[in-house]
Amino acid sequence: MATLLAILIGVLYAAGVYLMLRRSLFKLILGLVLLAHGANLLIFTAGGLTRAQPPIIPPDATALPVSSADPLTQALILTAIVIGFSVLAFALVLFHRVYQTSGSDDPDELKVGDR
Amino acid sequence: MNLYELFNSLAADSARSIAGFQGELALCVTIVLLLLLRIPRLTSRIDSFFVMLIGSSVALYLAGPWRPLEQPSEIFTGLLVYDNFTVYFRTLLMAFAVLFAVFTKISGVPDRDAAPDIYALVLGATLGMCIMASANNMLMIFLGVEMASVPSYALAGLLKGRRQSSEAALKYAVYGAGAAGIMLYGISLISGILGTVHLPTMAVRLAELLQPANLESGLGSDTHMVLALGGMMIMVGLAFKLSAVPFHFWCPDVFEGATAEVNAFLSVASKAAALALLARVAIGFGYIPAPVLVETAPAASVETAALYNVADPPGEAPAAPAARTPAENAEAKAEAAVGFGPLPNREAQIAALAPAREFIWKLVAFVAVITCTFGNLAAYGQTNIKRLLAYSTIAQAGYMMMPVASAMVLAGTNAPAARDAISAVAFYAGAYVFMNLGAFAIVAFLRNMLHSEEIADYAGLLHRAPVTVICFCIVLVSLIGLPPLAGFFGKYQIFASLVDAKLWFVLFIAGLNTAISLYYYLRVVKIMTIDPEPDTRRPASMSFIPGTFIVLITAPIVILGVWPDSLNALARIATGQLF
Amino acid sequence: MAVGMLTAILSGFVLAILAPGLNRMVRGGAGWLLALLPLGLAISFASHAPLIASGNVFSESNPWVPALGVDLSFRLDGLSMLLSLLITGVGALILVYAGGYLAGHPQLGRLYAFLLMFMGSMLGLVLADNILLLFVFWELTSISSYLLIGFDHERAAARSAALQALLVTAGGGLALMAGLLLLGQAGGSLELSTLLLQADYLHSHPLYLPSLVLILIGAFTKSAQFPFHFWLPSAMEAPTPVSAYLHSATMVKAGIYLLARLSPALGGTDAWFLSVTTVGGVTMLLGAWLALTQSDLKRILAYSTVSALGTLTLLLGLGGTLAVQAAMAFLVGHALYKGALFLVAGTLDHQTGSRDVDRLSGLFRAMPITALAAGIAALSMAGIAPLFGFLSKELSYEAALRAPAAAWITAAAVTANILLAAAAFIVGIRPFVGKAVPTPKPAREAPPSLWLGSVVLASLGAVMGLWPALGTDGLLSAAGTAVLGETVSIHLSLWHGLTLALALSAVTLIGGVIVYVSRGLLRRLASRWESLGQFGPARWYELVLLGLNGLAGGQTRLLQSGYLRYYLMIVLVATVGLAGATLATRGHLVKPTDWSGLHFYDVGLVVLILMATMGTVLARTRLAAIAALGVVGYSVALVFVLFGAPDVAMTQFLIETLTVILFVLVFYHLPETPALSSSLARGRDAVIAATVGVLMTAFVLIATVVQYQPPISEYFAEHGLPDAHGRNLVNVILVDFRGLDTLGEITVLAAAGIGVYALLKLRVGKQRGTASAARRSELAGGVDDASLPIANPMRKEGDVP
Repeated sequence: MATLLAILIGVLYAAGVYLMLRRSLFKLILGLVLLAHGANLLIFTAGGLTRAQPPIIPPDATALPVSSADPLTQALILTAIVIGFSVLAFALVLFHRVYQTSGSDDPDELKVGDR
Repeated sequence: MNLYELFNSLAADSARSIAGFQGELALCVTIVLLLLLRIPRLTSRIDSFFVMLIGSSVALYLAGPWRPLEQPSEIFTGLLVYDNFTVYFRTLLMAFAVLFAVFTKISGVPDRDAAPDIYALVLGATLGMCIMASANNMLMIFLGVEMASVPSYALAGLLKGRRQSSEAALKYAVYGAGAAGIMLYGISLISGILGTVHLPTMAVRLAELLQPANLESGLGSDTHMVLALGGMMIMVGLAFKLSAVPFHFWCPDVFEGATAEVNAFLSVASKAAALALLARVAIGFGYIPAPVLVETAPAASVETAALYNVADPPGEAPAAPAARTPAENAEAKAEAAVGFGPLPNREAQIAALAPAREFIWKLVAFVAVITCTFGNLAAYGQTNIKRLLAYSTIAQAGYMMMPVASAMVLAGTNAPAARDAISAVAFYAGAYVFMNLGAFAIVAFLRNMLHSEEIADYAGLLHRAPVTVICFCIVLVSLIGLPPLAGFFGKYQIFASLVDAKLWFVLFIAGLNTAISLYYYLRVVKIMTIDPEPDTRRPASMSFIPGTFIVLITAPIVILGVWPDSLNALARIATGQLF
Repeated sequence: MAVGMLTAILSGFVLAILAPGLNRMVRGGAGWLLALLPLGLAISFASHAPLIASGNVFSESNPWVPALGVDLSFRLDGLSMLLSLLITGVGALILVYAGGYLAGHPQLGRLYAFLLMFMGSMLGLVLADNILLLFVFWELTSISSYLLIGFDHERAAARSAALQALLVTAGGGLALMAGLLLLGQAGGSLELSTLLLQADYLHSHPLYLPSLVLILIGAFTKSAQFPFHFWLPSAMEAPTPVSAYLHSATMVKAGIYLLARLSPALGGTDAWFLSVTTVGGVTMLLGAWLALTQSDLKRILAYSTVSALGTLTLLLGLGGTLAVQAAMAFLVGHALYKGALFLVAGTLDHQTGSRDVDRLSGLFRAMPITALAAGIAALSMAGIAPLFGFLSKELSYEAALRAPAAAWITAAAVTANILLAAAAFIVGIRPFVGKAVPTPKPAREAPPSLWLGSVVLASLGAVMGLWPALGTDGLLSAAGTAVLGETVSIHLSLWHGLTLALALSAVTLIGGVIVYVSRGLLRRLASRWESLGQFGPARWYELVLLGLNGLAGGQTRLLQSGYLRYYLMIVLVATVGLAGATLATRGHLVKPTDWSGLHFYDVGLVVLILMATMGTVLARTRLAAIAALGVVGYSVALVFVLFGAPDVAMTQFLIETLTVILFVLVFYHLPETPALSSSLARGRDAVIAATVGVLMTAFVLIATVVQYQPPISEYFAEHGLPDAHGRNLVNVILVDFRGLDTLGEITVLAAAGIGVYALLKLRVGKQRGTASAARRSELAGGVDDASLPIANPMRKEGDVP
């Protein structure tokens, strides 16, 4: 299963990167979301996959079963998801603002850089 | 451990932790107050500036203690470390918040309507930076970076001098999100391998993993590679905060798009915190500090220490294998396969970390050299003062990273010299507060006066605003690092640390870069002081209050140049507990 | 010392601050008043001269930055004394002269201030015992020199000359600092007095050569040695008192001082001898030749100064008692006659309005006092007995004759001196003899403030030549002792007997007269070679600046294009390269072996995500892309469910829903935009993206097979229930163990919330036109006022008086 997920992660990254390289702010943000999914899965996979054993202590025990998933990885991903969402929300509104002022989705229309 | 003991120890920990966290709490309260000001009727009655000023001043006062701590300690169950280094940088950051409040009030940006939001964001970011400076745990490192970054994205997009700022802020956010993701992955890789997120414990584990016996037998070379990749990924996150090459791209564009006020915040506070964090991470992985005292009831000490530190406290695990839990003993067999044997003492652990130090210093020195060179060359032909200062900021970040590399070279053999290197960083960061705040304050006030941020429009300004120009010259000359100003002592200590560490190549690049930087800084000086004033300039002059602010900000640069010991002694105290 | 050395230095800076005010109060006479300080200092120094001459050394030390081992330590020995006397003595004359020369100039007060600041820095430089302190004062003299050269802002030439001088000297200063740091590291001390005692140890130290080279670069730039000599003639744009003081008598001697000071520690090796002697010799000849080709008085003097500095460098490179004696004598002699001649040149300029030797003639009648001073100084420069210049030249001939490769060095010295003698006649004699010609301003004798300096300096040269025992011997001996590191005693006398040196002096004099007579021919010859000048070091300087500019511009345009996607591309390509290289060299290719435990619904889920991802990429409309993105998100959440992370999945479901709603809200009403990239660009991006994807896959595969430490969860697994009374460990971690973490998340969310809120609140400006229109208006108006909050405070600021 790890192999399958590895391939999936690769595809998510590739798709994200491809979208971010397009000349469109909309696609840029789409790409960002795909990358975030890829990254979360990456951390999840690296933490070790354990099927269907949530890190919940069964009612009749006082410690976790040996084969349960790594709770710290999950906590890490939770943090990442929440923070990722806040950044995304901000980026979306920022895009909205850019579009309103410039009437374009094309980043090249408003680039700042060294001429 | 029974419930009662646990409750007692947690209560004691919280009480102790809160005592070391008062400044941050004051920031939190101020943020809430600022948000409350959004209630429409309050907005018109209360100027949020005063809330910001009072809040940040209280935070600064509470950030003390105003005397050195005798012992470093870990707070919040080992998430943060409370030592003189923390206190130094926290004080620096909060002092900057106070100065920033005054600066924005004088410059008039943000206007009264936007001010509560801006101030709340600034304080939120400051809170994150304080956590960065005191992080003792990989999770806190990630969180601190994010807490500092997200408000910065918003700041970059909010106050705008130009329309492109939204686009620049978008770049910033995209970049930041990417860097944070990479960093998080690096963190999860390394902590996955080392089995803990508590920095000192990670170092102990790392030492066990890297001990000579393992290296000779070639055990776990895959593990080493993953560790190296993880280390590089963490460096990506740090490099982004430091605007180090190649993660600097956002910096000039954001700086040109955003107002000088925001730039001051991004270039000073952000950088200081990122440097502190870089030092923390480098030392965390490359050195084993003396064991941290945990002040709790002696009976529960071993177990509570284990609780606070998530894993075993440093020195504890190898010294007392009997204290290990049965489950750990069960795993010990698996460890033995990869050679995680405990090391006899702290000296052996420090010695075993040599490969980690070598990796860190090479990585940091490489990034520093590239960053410094790129920044200086790119600043060379700039015509916009904010863009020039943006590149200068990048270059300065390069200089400031260099002593960290020196410290890593020296840590194994000559701890006092390594401490000196880190205190060079601390000194420079302190001096940098005044240099860059001064530079951007002057740029902001001149913008209000001339309605321009082009260097060419500063021609002959000496006749119009002599005090401002003289102060600007002092700032620029100090940024070059020429005596007798604060920047000189900062740079001298940086260079001296490179000499101590025998990093000749880095020293050579740093010297060459300083020579290059002469030109672009002095060109601005020349334009302002001795080029003729254009006939077309509208009559304008610097008013009294901005002028006074500029003088007050610039004065420390001169004072620190003539009397560097004032800050240097503090920087030394700050770094005394690291090695 | 009765007056502390630190006090003496600081007094210069303090008076510098007071000078502008004083100048406003005492109109006209401020120069005389201000000169009292350097005069007092000179007397104070002179009163200690006998003690120094008898071999005493004064030192004082105050703590400064104890942690760095940097103290404010000063040391007064023969060498320092010699230069201190020059600095304060000439300084007093210059202040008086400046008052007359720039009488009525609106910025005169500032000039006084800069001059006094320079004096303080220069005193500090020669008195400092700590090398860091020395460097501080070294750069201070560069900065004050910049301020003084740029003093006359009106001319573009002055402005660029000021920058050039500062760049060259401050840049050299940086090399010096690096060199001093290395020296300090090698010798284990920052105190000169300690370093000077360990010559043998230093010579064999591996850092010796690097530090020598760097220090020499510093010294050569400051003392205008080839190939850095070009800044000195350009610096002649400065007002004449400044040229006389900084660029002849004192500041340019700082490099010489450094060489002399460090020669006990660094000198005496082949590397030292070869580099210092060669550079000095070349500079000496080049300067002398270039001096003859000029017609501007100040430029002639500037090049002859370059030549003299070359001579001093040459002598210090030779080393040995005789050469050092000659160097010390020449140092004093040169300061006296060249200072006088510079002042004369300034007086001529001031009184006649011209500095062109071809347009000045027969001025003796109109300006007899100036003429007399000029004549004496010129004769001293030409090396005619019984003036002091003769003594020092004799000594240098003797040193040259005994040097290794004596023939070459002597020939060079004689040639240079012949040319310099001719130059001396051109500057000091030519304008005063012959038929009087009309000058731009009718010539009149100068006021006392303008002739005092030259008369004093010229007559000192005469008196010291005639009566060498006037304390000069002792002082020169002490200076020589300091330079050599061993006790020497110097006895100057006019008559050495019929030696070879005397014969050479005669040759020099005769040669000088011949060259003077045929100077027209020489200048025509030189003008033919002028085109060579464009290959000279001044051109190198321009080329370096140009080259740096090109390099900087190129790299910046390449890397900082302003296009986010190119930035990303650079970062990605770099990352892929680095990580790929690491993987290829250090990792093993991991075969995808772990196909175990696959369920059909796993495969189905993954295929679903893959298809949705492709859908997101390929979607033609925005809505479709958003929908596909939503599918990706929900399916990823399902993966979390399958692998034991229900909490994460829950959050992911929630967040995904919010994300889709946000996307739809923001994008729904926006019109579609056409695809803009060419198919070539798409292909390129696809390749980059695919490489990243493959790399990430490989990376995950490696990461999953690496052996792990026991996971942290073990700890939580054991403590979660008993300690925190929770059965869901993720919640336990978040709520109990990681409270701070959660606080952080809340802060981040709040910050994003404020950002979103504030952004939405911002008024959208009227300008809704195309971006290019907006851009035009922006370029025209600098800052775009219409929609920006910043505009309001700026207007406010403008209204406030």
